[in-house]
Amino acid sequence: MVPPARPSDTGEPDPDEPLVARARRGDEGAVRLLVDRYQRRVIGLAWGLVGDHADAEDVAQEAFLRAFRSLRTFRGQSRFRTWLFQIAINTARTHRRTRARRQEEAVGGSIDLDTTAGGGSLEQAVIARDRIHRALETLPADLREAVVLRDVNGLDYREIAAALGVPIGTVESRIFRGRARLRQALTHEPHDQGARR
Amino acid sequence: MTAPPDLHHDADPCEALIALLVRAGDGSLDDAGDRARLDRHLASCAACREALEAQQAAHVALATSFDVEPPLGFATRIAAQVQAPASWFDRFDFRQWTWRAGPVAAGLALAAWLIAASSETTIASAGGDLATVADAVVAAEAVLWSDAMDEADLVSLAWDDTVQPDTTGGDEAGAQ
Repeated sequence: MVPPARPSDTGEPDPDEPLVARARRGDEGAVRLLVDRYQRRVIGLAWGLVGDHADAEDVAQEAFLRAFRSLRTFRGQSRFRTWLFQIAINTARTHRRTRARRQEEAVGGSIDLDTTAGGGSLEQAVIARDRIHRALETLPADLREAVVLRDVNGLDYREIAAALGVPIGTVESRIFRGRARLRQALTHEPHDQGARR
Repeated sequence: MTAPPDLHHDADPCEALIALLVRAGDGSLDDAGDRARLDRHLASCAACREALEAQQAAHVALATSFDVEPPLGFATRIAAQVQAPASWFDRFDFRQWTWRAGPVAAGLALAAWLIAASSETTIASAGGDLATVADAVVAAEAVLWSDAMDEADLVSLAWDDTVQPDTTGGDEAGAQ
């Protein structure tokens, strides 16, 4: 169980507090402003965690709805955005479990790329991005969550520790190992690809 | 400043530098003292130089691979759905009811017991038991409304609804 974050996790006033107070009173405009403020980061987080852009939008939408519909339970013990990201992480975890059951797919398999479509620079860029997404999929969930929160979402280390409910040293260790594995997957993949041909 | 690793006493100095390597990898190693400490180590450690290069490459790859453009009207749609009536299950808000209905349930139980007792025995013979039951009801209510059962537990219950257990497992090598 991931415990709620404590004030000491950030130690600073929550800049979202006025909007959160308005949203709690049913102010639709405040809800819209908060979604505007965090939609890119929540969708990006969900994308990194579920590995599919269309699914990521669904996960982000569900996370926002869950957050605002349970806003009465938010007591300000962490920043609003930390709490929101926690909900997004758990929504993404649930999505992955459901998808894995439905498709009976093995998550974490080898990278299987089709590079024959590569031609122009735009296509190559798309393929390169796809390789990174697939490499990310091969990471264990705990490492993937940590590197996505840092490198995709840009959260600082204390916020990541609060969002994941683990000590900051664990966050550093997970990011270090996650990036190292990602780099290894990206570096070795072309050789594997070549060996298959 | 990041917690300073002790290069003279740690069994594996490279392991002790993980906190600095990850920050140097994403450009957030701001403290000059930490940077100098890391640079001194890197000057004599090829493995850490390679590790740092991997950290930087992975960070750049991830940071540039998720260009998110939210769908048009996303925020407006969310706001409208939040305002829309929730499902009957959400509206019932059973968690709040569970606690708020406690005194009511206790009163109903007492009334039911009184009715049953009056139909089977005389009031006089039931007097002693009535006092015992009334005491128990008061005690139960006191527990329900005590501080320990108040905000923290309600938050905890709400938390259970939104946060799933971390089932990722795996060994954690805390670097600090």
